[in-house]
Amino acid sequence: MSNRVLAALAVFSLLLISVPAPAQEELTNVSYDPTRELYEAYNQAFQKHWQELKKADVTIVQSHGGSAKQARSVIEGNEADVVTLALASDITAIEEAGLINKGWQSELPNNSSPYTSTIVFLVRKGNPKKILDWGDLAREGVGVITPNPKTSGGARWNYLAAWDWADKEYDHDETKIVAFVKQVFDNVLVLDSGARGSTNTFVQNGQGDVLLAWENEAYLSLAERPGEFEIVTPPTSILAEPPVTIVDAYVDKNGTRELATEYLKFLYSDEGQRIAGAHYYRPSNPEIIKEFADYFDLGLKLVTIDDPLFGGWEVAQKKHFGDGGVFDQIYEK
Amino acid sequence: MTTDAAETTAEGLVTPPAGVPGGSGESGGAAEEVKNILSEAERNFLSGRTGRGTETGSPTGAGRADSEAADAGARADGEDGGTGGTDGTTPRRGRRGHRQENPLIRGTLIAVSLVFAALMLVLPLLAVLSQAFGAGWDNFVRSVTDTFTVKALKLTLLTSLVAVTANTLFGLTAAWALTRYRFRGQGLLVTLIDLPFAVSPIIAGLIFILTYGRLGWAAPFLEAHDLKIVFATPGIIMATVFVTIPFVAREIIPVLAARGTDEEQAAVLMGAGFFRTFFQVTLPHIRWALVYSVILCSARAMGEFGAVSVVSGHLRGKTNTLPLHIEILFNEHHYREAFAVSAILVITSIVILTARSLVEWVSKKEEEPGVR
Repeated sequence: MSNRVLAALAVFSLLLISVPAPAQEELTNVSYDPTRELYEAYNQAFQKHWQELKKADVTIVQSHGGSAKQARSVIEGNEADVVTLALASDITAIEEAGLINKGWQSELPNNSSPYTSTIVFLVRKGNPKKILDWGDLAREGVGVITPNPKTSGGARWNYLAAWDWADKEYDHDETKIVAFVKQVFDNVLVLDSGARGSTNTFVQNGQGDVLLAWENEAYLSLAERPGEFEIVTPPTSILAEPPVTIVDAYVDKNGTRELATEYLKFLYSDEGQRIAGAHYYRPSNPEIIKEFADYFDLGLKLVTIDDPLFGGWEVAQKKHFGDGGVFDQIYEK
Repeated sequence: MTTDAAETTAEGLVTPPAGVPGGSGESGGAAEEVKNILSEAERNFLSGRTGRGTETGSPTGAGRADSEAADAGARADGEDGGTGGTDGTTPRRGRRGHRQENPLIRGTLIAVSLVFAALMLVLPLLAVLSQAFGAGWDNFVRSVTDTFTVKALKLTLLTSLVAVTANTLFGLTAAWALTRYRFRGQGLLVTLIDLPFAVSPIIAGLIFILTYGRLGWAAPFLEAHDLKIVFATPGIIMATVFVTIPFVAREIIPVLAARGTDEEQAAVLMGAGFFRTFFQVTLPHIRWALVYSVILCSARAMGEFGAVSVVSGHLRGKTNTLPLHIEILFNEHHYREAFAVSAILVITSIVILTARSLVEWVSKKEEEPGVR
C-alpha cells in the first residue's frame, strides 16, 4: 500500500473520530420494545420543554428491546439515566444489582407508572378462528403468537392474564390452571424475545391466528395496516403497569439527576399524558384518559399484580418466571 | 467416474508442490516444514497457491515435467476468475474431468448451481434493491441522509477501519512468525486464528460482556480509570476485531509458506535490515493476497451483526452500527427506510466483490509474463 493511501486513511479516520457533537447535555433512556413511537414523540416534546425551562438543548438517546434483556444490559453496564421498562420486577433486578435506590416505586405517582396498558388479542380480519376469550387460546388448531416470558415484559403480562382467567374458570384449582396455561403455550408457534419481534412475526410474516399483545401495540398494528386485523378485548385482562425510574448510580456518575428527574416528571404533565394517550397507552390521569374513551374500553375488568392471586411482582416473578418456576416446568414438559 | 475425479484431485494436490523444489532449491523444503504444522484445509489452500508460485519459478530451470505441471496450473488459474482464487484445486478438477464427463451430468450440475444461486442470492438481493428504490429516489436519499443513519454509517466505517488495520497488522505478524520461525505453541496459534470462524457470534459478544462489563473481571480497573468498553464504541470495535481475526492471517500464511525464505535470506546476506527485507522482498510477493484479504475483512467487518448486537446496548445514534440500525428501522415499521439503508450495505458488498475480482484479475495479469 502506498504512503499516500495510508495518509489518506489516517486523515479519514481522524475525521471520523474527531467530530463529536458540541458539548451538550445528554440523557439515555433504556426502554422496552413497544415504546419506540411513544418516546420518539415524547422526546421531542421534552426537548422543547427543557429548552423553555433551562434554555438548554438536550440530546436523548433511546434504546429498545425485550424488557428483561434491557434490564440485563443496564446491570452489565449500559449506563441508562432512566429506565422505562415493562414491569416492576425488571427494575427491581436493577435495584438488586445496587444501581437503583430502594423504594423507587413510591417516588412517582401511581406506582411510578405514568401510563398503563392491558393485554388484548390481535386477530386476523373477520376473526376466522372465533377467538373471543382466553379459553379459546387453548383450543386445538389455534396458532398463538406471544414473546417469551423469560425475556419480555409483555409476555409476562400475557401469561398472568391467562392465569387469572383460568383461576376464575377452574375455581382456583392450580393443577387445572397450569394445564390450561400449558395448553396455551403448546399452541405457541413462535416465541420471540420481545414484543416487537412478535408483532412482526404476526403482522409482517403472517404467522399464527392470534397475537397476545399490549393494547398499545395492537392499536399501532391496526394503524400501520388498516383493514387487515381486528382487536378482540377479552372480558377480563390484567392491568399492566410499566414503571419508570431514575438509575441512581448512573445519574450520579453522569451528573444528570436534575435532568432525569424532570424527564420523568414531565411524563405526568397534561402534555405528557396526552402523548401517551395518542400512542394508545392509557394515561394514568383519570381526566385525560376520558379524552381517549373512543378506543379504550374503560369498563374492562382488570386484575392487578397486587391481587392476592399474584401477591405482587416479587412473589409472582419468583413463583412463575424464576429458574425452575411454573413457566419453566410448563415449557419443558 | 468418481474414482477418476478423486485421483485427479489427489494428483492436483500433489503435483504443484513437487514442482517447487525444481524451481527454487530450499523453498520447497521450507514449505514442507510449514505444511506439517498446518491443517488439512490449509494444505488444500497451500497447493492452490503453490501452483501459482511455480509459474514464475519455471523459467529459471524447471524440468519438462515441471513446466507442464506449471502450465496446467496456469490454465486452471486462468479459468478460475469467477470462483475465487483461494481454492486452486476445484477448477483444476473441472478442467481435467470434463473430457470424460457425461454432458447430462455436466448440464445438471451447472443448472442446479445457477438456479440455487438465483433463488438464494440474486432474487433476495434484487428484492432489497427494488424495495429500497421502489418509493423513489427522494425517499432513498431522505432515508440514507437521516441523522441516525449517518451516525450509524460513521460508526460502521470507523469500526471497520480499526478492525481491518488491527487484523492486517496481526495477520502479517502471525503469518510471518508461523512461516519463518519454529516455536512452541505454533499449532495452537494456527488453531486460535481459526477460532472466530468456529465460535458463534453471540459468544464472541458475551465474552466481552463477561470480561469488560460492569460485573466483569476487568471492571474494577476500568472503573478506576473511568474507561468504558462494552455498550460503547471500544466494545463494538473489539467484537468486530474478534470476528474478523482469521481473514488476513489465513490468506497470508499459505502464500508466505509457499514462497519459502530463500529470497529473504539472500536479502539479509546482502545486508538488508528486517524492515527493508520485508518491504522490498516479502511485501511485493504477498501484496495481492494482502489486498484481497483486506477487502474480504472489510466486507465482514461492515456487515457484522451478532457479536456487535450483544455488546452494543442499542443506543440510538451512539452504539448503533448500520446492520443494527437496519434492524431498528425494520422493528419500527419503517420498512422503506430499512431497505434503503440495507441497499447501502448491499451496494457496498457489490463494490467490494468487484474490487476482489479486479484484484484477482490484476494479480494474474502480473504473473502471466513469468509463464510465457
